[in-house]
Amino acid sequence: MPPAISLIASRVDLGGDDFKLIVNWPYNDSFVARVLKSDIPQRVKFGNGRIWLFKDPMGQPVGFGTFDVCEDYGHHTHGKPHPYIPLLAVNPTIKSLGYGTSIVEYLVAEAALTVKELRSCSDVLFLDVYTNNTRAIALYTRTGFQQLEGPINDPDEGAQYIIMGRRVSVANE
Amino acid sequence: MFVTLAQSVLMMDTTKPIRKVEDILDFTASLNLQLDRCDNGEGMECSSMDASLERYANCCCEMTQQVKRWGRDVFAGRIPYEQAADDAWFHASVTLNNRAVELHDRAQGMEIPCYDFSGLNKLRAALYGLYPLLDGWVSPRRSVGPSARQATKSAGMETVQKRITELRPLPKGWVPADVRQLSVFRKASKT
Repeated sequence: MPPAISLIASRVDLGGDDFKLIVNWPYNDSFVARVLKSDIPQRVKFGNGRIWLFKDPMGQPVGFGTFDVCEDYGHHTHGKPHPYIPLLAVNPTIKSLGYGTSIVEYLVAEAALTVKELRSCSDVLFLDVYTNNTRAIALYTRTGFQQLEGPINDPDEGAQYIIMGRRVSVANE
Repeated sequence: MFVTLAQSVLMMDTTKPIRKVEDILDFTASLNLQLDRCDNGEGMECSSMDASLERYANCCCEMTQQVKRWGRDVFAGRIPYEQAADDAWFHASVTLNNRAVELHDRAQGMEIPCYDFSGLNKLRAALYGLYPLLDGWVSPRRSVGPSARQATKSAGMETVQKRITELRPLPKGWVPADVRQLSVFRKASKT
């Protein structure tokens, strides 16, 4: 696997131009836009959600990533809060050069930092992905995530999804 | 005042949830009554400016926790969204914020170089938590993604636990590639 491309990350405010930019990208999957418009602002306001815009070294926006510390999968962490990736996407208007891998690695590192700072937090980083999104599943598998549960029926979306996880504590620490 | 992610997680609410509109109105009326008494110098709790600042700070923290909890409950589908509840929380939060800012500004004006109110920093921190809720108010909706609304125990819990146990940690010596993350990581390693 080629090394991840170095990207420049900047925090995104809900009221700022960068949020408007990523919301207006023409995503192939409408689910991305719906989560971005509805779920992510709520995770920021009512939880611990954060958003980053990623640019390549030339300053071109290539994607975004989101991160939360929540208890959505607390039933798998003995009730402890845990890091979680609600959503990430590569800019659909450009040709991806492995940006997804770089974004995932950034979010894994953010989870590792959180776990290091917050000892009451579970060291398992969770995400969920619909089974028809084979490219995303391949990306997460490539970046060290393993399937933990599923397929699970989601009646709201009329689809099945799996839960994936990755340990983000550092060995022998 | 900067509140880290770790601090905000630790501040997660432990209060009793308030879900019905009439309970929201009771809660906010009770807070306003406490602050009215505080402003009028009734009782011992607000016998000084510092004590008043602390009382206001506690009320702001409680309001922030309750609004966030209500938002998460709607998001997770535990309770339905109600416009009346939304209006009640927003109105109460704005009212409290305005009262708290007024007291904050008055206390700040009373400070002299050799005398600081210890309660002022507490109130600033509390406002730092409350104000972002009001700035670009977000009305909660049931989650689009499945994790929040489908977070229930499944039949295969033991299998999941086994798989979690088998997850390997990041390799020894791992450090983040990003410069900001690396700096935070090194600081966290020292503490």
